[in-house]
Amino acid sequence: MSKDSGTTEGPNENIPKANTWLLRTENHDHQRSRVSFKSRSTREIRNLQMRKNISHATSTIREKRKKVVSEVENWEELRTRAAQIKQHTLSNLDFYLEEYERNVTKAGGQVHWARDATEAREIALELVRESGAQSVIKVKSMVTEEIGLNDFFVENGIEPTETDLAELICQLAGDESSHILVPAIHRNRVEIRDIFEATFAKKGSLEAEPSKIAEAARQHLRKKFLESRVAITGGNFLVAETGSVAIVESEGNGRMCLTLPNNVISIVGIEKLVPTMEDLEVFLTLLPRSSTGERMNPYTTIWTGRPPAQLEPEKETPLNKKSYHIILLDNGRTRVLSDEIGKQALSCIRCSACLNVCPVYERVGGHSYESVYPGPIGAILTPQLVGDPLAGELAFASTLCGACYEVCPVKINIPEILIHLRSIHSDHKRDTVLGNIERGSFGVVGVVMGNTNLFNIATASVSRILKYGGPVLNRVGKYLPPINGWIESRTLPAAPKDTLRDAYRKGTLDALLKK
Amino acid sequence: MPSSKSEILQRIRQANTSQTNGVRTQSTLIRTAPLRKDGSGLSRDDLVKLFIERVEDYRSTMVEIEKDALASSFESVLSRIDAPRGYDTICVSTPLMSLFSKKVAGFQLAHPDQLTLNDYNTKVLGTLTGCAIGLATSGTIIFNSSDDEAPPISTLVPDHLFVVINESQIAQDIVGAITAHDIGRPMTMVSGPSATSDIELARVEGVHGPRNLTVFVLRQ
Repeated sequence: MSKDSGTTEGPNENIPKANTWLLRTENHDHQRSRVSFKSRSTREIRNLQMRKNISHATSTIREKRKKVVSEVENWEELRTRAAQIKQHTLSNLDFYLEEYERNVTKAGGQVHWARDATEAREIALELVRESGAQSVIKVKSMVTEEIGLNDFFVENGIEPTETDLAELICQLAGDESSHILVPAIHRNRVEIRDIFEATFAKKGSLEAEPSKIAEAARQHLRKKFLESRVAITGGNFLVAETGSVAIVESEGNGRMCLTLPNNVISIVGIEKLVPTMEDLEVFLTLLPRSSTGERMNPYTTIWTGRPPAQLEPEKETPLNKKSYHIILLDNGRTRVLSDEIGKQALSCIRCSACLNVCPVYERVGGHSYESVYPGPIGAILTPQLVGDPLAGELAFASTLCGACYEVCPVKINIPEILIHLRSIHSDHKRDTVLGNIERGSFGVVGVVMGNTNLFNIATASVSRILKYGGPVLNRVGKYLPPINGWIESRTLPAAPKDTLRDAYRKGTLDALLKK
Repeated sequence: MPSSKSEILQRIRQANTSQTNGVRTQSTLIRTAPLRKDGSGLSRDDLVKLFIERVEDYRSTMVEIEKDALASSFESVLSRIDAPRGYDTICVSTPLMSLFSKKVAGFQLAHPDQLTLNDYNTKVLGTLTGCAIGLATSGTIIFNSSDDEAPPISTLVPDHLFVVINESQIAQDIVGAITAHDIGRPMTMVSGPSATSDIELARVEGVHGPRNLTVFVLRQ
């Protein structure tokens, strides 16, 4: 990283606040007042610090990923296997969930079921209150972001502390995350130093160096780890045959949360199941290489019913019981499951490889998606989880280049789902005035393109209109609906003298093509 | 009102049968050909070499020694460490304890049973422990909370982690390595020291776990 990235603009004030985000509540009325993806991304794209950081991050991880993936001879075979495992599990999800519950219970853990975000938050709050704790420490978890757990805890007098460095930065700054793997990537080192000094570190005590900042976080969090009685986690994988949970991480904060507090509560989406330990191995090969571009992430913890903290019986006293709870969350996942094409999105293992190759994400950044799940996977997952066809506008945030499909370790056909969601979105608009105009126009285009004579006349007149009208349209078009949307960001090309067909007839095709 | 569990299961059944005209698909996963072909394994020497190379890639220190040289080798590694003031204790797992006298290179040796959580934080420099499995391809060390190992806290809280592995414990990769394992006990996989890239993607070692990893590979 070059030094100069540590300078420039102050904190970005445009970070959206949680309550406007998708998926946080069951009442989606607020969406009507949401800022559209288009205007949000138009604003985000001007945030040069964000773009610089994101493009550095995505291009670096992209290269690392390519290198470690090429080391695995049977990578394609593993991808296919992973996709099969997920498809199979999803089509027998009821069976595996019940098997999972039986095995967790047998091993001494307790399983809870939550239909939606509200129910999951309430169960979690109840469990924290039972333990008597006033505060909790948290392992980085997308699902707790999805259900807005932190805000809910604060409202109810429980103090949550994020222990992943990036999540801590976001929490202290009041930011939403902007990347699945590195959520604080929109901030530079100077901003992060300032955020720390404005919160827990003494003013002027910190250098704007990543190692110094990380050391400050280590000191700050060490105390919390040693004192906390309750940890909240997500889960990367659940293994049905054993009742195990696997957490994949880098910093060791996950291990700290699982090893030190006596009470652990995991909140995990129902789609995270795999049938056997043998299946888990496939994913442990695919995930780190796809995600951070490492052969293996520094720490993976797998436990069954009792997390590592429960190995030390002498810590348990009548006043401080040990417990393990897991909350299995639906929150729209069964809705996704009922869509034959869209349900592939439930296979996602949150590696973020699709973000790193996406030309749209790289420019508009994570905040444009207004969801915990940004990038290509967010564009297909968020609208389906929310279940409102209008959120399907995210499906248009793509060039359909297919790079995301190629890197996906579980072979989710993201472009296919994007097109599917676009069609649902368009069907929904069918009865609006604009929808009728659009449909009518494409009807006309269909007739013209289906008839040679009409097509010749049309292309000839378009080229004439372009010749004289093009320069005019380029100047005033941005004020003329409905073409303003197109003209705003594009310039009409200068029209060649002849159409392709005319040139062919006249024998001047070569000359035309050379231009 | 139906319970949340029965409602979620009902939704799943409805979603899945709506796509197959009410017919349930078979509940067995057809696992195609095995992911590892027989005979593709490396020789013992190559496996050890690969393991050392890959763990070293995570900026860990690798020490390859004869089995009976562990005590002297550990002493010389310890004597080169500039320990912060007050950190004068090394935690040693039970089976390894018999190799040493009470002190090594000026450090007090302590059994995990004698140490409290606060000790690990304030006076234990590092922990010397055995492990369950090593994975060569990814440079991974797997702990499974067995009696051969020091407890999870001791390999996590202190700043140094010293792992002893016999060459016979090294497997090629994760495929086939953990299926047969006893997962009744918590399992931890360690690949290099704790690390973060959260600030501008600059890699920093040692956020919460040990910042230094040393692995002693014992040759037969």
